[in-house]
Amino acid sequence: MSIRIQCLCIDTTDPAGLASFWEAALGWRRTYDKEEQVVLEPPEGSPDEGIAPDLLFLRVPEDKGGKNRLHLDLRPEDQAAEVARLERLGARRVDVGQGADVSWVVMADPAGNEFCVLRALTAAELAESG
Amino acid sequence: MTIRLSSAVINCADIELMTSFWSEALGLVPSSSAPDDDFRVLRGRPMNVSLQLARTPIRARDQMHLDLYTDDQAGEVERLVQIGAKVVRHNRDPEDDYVVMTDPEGNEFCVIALSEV
Repeated sequence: MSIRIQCLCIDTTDPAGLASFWEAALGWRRTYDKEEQVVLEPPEGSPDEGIAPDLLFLRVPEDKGGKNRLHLDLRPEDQAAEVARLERLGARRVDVGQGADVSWVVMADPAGNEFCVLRALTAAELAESG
Repeated sequence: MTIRLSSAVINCADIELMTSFWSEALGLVPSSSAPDDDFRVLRGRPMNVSLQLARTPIRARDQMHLDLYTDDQAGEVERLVQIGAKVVRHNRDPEDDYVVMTDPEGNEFCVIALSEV
């Protein structure tokens, strides 16, 4: 078996605009920038470089339909600060029926794609994950 | 700014079926096998895939999908079919060769030959 996840692909009517949000949200860099496709990769020299899949924004004619079946979970060091920062960048909190007592915050990017900001890992969890 | 991509999460109706398929498809290791799980992390590189029990029906094409790269496109497509995937179409453009497939719950993903990249 020789197969790996290379890209997470996101359909959008505006690849450049939506990529700008995620570029700022994750601090990633634009490595391909055309009208039909924009690619983001982790910063050079970061632990994620060459490991995390690229984010590939693909131009499509149609807007988003229902709730996505696939979404991203983001792990912050400071959940409240990151949620506030992402809101300033154009994300918003959304209710997908998650309830009030969950440890993560459900948000949507400017195109409405749902994602979650998880709680920060505890010191013990960080030690375990290396 | 300290935030990292942690996991790609797939909503699913049958978490055991999807655990079986995606673990085998990508060589991932389930973090749990408890029968009442409503969330399960499948650990691996380059990133974890998580499964979340949800009743969201597949109403339309999702805005997000996974691209899988392989150096043996034909062999991998055949293997994925054997474990429960279906072929939707094969785009044979030499400049852009990929096979669109669906997992056992109908989520689309693409299998791309590494030499084409």
